[in-house]
Amino acid sequence: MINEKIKSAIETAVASEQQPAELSKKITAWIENLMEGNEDIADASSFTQRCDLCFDTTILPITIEE
Amino acid sequence: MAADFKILGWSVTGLRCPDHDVSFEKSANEVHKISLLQMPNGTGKTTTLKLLRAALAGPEMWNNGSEQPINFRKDNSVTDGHFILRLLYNRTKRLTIEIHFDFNDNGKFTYYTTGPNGKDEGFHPPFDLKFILKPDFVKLLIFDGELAANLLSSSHTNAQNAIETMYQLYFFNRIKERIDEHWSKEANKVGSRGSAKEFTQRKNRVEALKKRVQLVNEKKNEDALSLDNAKKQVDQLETEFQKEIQKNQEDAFQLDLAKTRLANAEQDVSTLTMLTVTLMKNPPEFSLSFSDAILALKDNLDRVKLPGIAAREFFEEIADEDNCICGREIDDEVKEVIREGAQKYLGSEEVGVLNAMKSDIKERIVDLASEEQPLKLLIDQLEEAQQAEQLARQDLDTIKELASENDPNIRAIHTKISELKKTIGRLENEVLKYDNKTDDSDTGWNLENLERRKKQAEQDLAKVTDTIELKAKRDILCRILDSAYQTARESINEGVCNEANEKIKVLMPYNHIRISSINKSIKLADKEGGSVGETLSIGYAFLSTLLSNDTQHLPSVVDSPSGPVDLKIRPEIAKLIPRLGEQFIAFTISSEREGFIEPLIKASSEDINFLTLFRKEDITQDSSAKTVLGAKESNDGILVPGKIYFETFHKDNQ
Repeated sequence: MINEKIKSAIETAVASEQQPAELSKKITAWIENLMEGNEDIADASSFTQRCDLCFDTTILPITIEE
Repeated sequence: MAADFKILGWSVTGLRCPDHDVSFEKSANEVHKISLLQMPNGTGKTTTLKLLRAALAGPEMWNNGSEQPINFRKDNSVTDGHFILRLLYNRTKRLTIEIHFDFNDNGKFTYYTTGPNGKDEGFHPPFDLKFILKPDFVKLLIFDGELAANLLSSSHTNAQNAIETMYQLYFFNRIKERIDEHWSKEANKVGSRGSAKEFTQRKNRVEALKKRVQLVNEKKNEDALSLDNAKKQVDQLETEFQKEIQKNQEDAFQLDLAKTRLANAEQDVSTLTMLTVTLMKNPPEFSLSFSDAILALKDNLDRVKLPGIAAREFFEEIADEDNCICGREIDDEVKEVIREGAQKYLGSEEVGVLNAMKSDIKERIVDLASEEQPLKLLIDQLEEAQQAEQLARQDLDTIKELASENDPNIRAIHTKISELKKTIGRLENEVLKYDNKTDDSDTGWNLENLERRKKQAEQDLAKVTDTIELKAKRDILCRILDSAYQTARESINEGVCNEANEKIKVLMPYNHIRISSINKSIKLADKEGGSVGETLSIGYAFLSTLLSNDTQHLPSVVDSPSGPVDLKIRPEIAKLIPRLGEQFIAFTISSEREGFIEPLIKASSEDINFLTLFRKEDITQDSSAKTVLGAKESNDGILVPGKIYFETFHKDNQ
């Protein structure tokens, strides 16, 4: 089980960037799996999938700074 | 991740402690919750602790060069040394870590790991323990007074590192690295909308800057660590030097005298510098011509009636009204005339500044004008004091040199200190480049500059690869991870502080010492540091908070658990120990028993494993020990189990 303080910190950070709660769930699940040892941060197939999920869930503001 | 391991025991041969084989096993897959290993001074307690650290933390432990493997050799007749550590992890799995020293090859060491898959050369802890079996964390599991002091020292980051490792907060940064890699990979895949050459150039620049940031980060940390180590070594050697020199009374007297002279000279320089700087902040105080000029300025302002009575805003406000204060109508033409006229007056802010300036000149400078203070005299005095300081330092060096000439031991220490001081000087010069922002190039050393340049290079790459959106998403994700890490860290630190403070209250109910925060190291409320006893108690409270929780099941090995603590506090420390973790192993000497053993027995829910290990040197003592049931004899040592022997064992020289 992920520490509640870590979970809550992720939720707060996601909300302050005006991102959907879904993103905090994805980041929390990723970090929880790493902490529990169920997933290896060096495993390319697993982190590529996780990254794709996080990028897909992230919403961009209307104007992007170039 | 939950971490779970116990120390089953270890065996040592050919190293700088008696050969021995110690076991903490109570039954199959179960260890004694509390084991006390009594080792009199000179038995190799420190060596055993160092070996234990080296076995748990792996070869990385030797990297800083503070320990030389050759120094672990028992004596010149020995060609090999072995330290074999037996561990139990995840309740039922066994792991053995062995360090083999080849003293024919300058103590070259080789690690061997034996786990469920057999024996392999190298240090290969199982995945579940990898994050714990690292130098920084192992230092926390093997605890002594030095660590307690370091937890509170602002030049160390042990307390923060301990929290980061225990709560695995480093994963935030690792995920960030993966997110960044992902974006880089996508940018590479997409290719360039400009020329291939342009794309390659921009991509290479981003990569080069990333490497540069990493290199500078590593080099900066490495230099800081080397500097810190060199300073620590100098402190240790200075203490040794002091001890050696005390053996010769005349030298010791001369050295103390020279030190006092240097301290006084340094104080004089400091006082005179302060006076000079204070005086230089106010030029009229040291220059009559300056104060005359300032007074002349005030007189001239008075003569031209500046700043005047009315401010520009007064007229501008009148111009804004339809009627003047005298009742006459103000039409647009008049308004314009008033506004133009208002420009001849100063604004209220300028009026305020000029009035304040005039009043300051009146109050402060008029009185001082007649008392010119001799800045030159003060600077002359400062120069003299600096020369005196230099002479005092030279005197001190000469006395040290002379003492060195008479004693080879002192000479060796003195030479080492001189070499280290040169190294410190070089490193102090070296680290200045990290703060230097003037070299703003891709090969500079200032991290702030490099990070900014990297960000710009990434923007440039995103533009040319059409990955601007992806980069914007990467930036958002990185910001989220940074912010979540900060918040989690602060909140966890606060929780650890509160819990540790509750334990400190129990340990020292009449002492108001408390932890206020953890910022790299432990910060105390209204206090810079504590006594040895206070420091140790705070260390225990902090570590027990970290090590004893629902997910971690780790051993604690403590050197001299009650040594520097008052007899009054010892029972409280003893009561805390059973809560320190699931396995507690303490290295003790006989003088620590008083006020500690009985409360520990009372506080412990199960039998304590008492062990006494000593070097064979006293025939009577050796023969008496060998009669104890379970006593184990080696070439040069005897290990005796049991409470009775433990409590009666005493060496006069302790």
